[in-house]
Amino acid sequence: MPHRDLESIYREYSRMVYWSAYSVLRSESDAKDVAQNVFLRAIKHMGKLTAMEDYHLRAWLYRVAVNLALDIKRRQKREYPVDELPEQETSTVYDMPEPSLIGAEQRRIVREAIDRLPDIYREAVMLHYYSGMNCADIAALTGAAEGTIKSRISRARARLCELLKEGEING
Amino acid sequence: MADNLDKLLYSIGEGADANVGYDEMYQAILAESARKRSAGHRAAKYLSMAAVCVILLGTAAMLPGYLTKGQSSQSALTSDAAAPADECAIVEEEAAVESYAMEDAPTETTAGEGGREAAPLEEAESESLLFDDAASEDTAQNSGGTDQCCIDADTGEYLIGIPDEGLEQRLEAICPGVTILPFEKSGIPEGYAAISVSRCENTALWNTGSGVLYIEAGSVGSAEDFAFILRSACTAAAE
Repeated sequence: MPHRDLESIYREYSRMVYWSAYSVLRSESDAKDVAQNVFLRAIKHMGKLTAMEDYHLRAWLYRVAVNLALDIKRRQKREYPVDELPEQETSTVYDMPEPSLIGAEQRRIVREAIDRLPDIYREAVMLHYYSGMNCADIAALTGAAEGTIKSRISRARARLCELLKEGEING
Repeated sequence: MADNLDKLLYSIGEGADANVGYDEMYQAILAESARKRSAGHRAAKYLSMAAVCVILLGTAAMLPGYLTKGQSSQSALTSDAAAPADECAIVEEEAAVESYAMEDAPTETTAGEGGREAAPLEEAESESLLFDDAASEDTAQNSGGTDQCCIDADTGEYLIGIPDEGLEQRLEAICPGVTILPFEKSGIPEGYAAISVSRCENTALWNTGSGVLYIEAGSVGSAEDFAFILRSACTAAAE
């Protein structure tokens, strides 16, 4: 049986919780509120959580985070398009400069472009690149197949490449 | 190109993550938790004080009746007795009333005690009936019945009413390895509690409240199947 306390749970899963909430809400303050509420609930049920397997605990935290975020989103009545992105090869589309050559303003534009991705793609991108999870873990968490997650990340990258190619972002 | 894009996205992700302020958030969580605990302690303290006040007021309200009853029975039973014996009986009576106020049973029998005991017994019985009624009403409201099932047209979420009794065992029987945790959710109809379901390596994770389930279709392969299985199982158990 794994031995945990709040701090170890927080250290391990706070990034996942925060970025899961952010991917739904696209607001830093709302995502922080959700993350805090998730861990307050975790404190309330610490007895059960400490006895859980890692993947159960992670799934519980994720579900609570997403549910709370969706609650807020419903209250705010914010709607975002959930369109499918087309499959697209990214390798020869645009000769991208070294990331170190891309300035702060351009990075901000990329972040905004990520924020504008449809929900499922944004979630995959944020959990992968922001929260540092691999595709298998994201798949287990969200209930999607690992191939689906890879595909979502690939399509999201293609969309971002399109933006780069169009000159909206250029080092 | 692809590598550079990966690098850029990781770099942006790390930058954004570094600005989140996890340490401050953790401190805020601890502070909020402490505040809630303190508020809970205060509420418990005030509730216990209120309960003591109610008991004292109730006792004070019953006191004249006891004394009157006690005196009349005393005078009937001890009409031939000497005056010092009367005084003694009254002193014992007062002691018995005091001991009732302290919620302890009197250890000595006194004249007219039967008459005095009748009133508390009736009180206790009527209180018990009141509590039973309240409890059954509460249970009925919380359970939501066994045949309630509705779908939220906006979100496609399923609401199912099932009784609380044996919920965990039934869910475990349906899906081995199931874990049940309370989850409060705002904006759900009265009589329902929240449950969300997620699949994870052939097990299901449930967050449930007071025994009435709220199934979110989100990440479940087939919410209809879950709804049907749960409903059938719970209805069968209720029968």
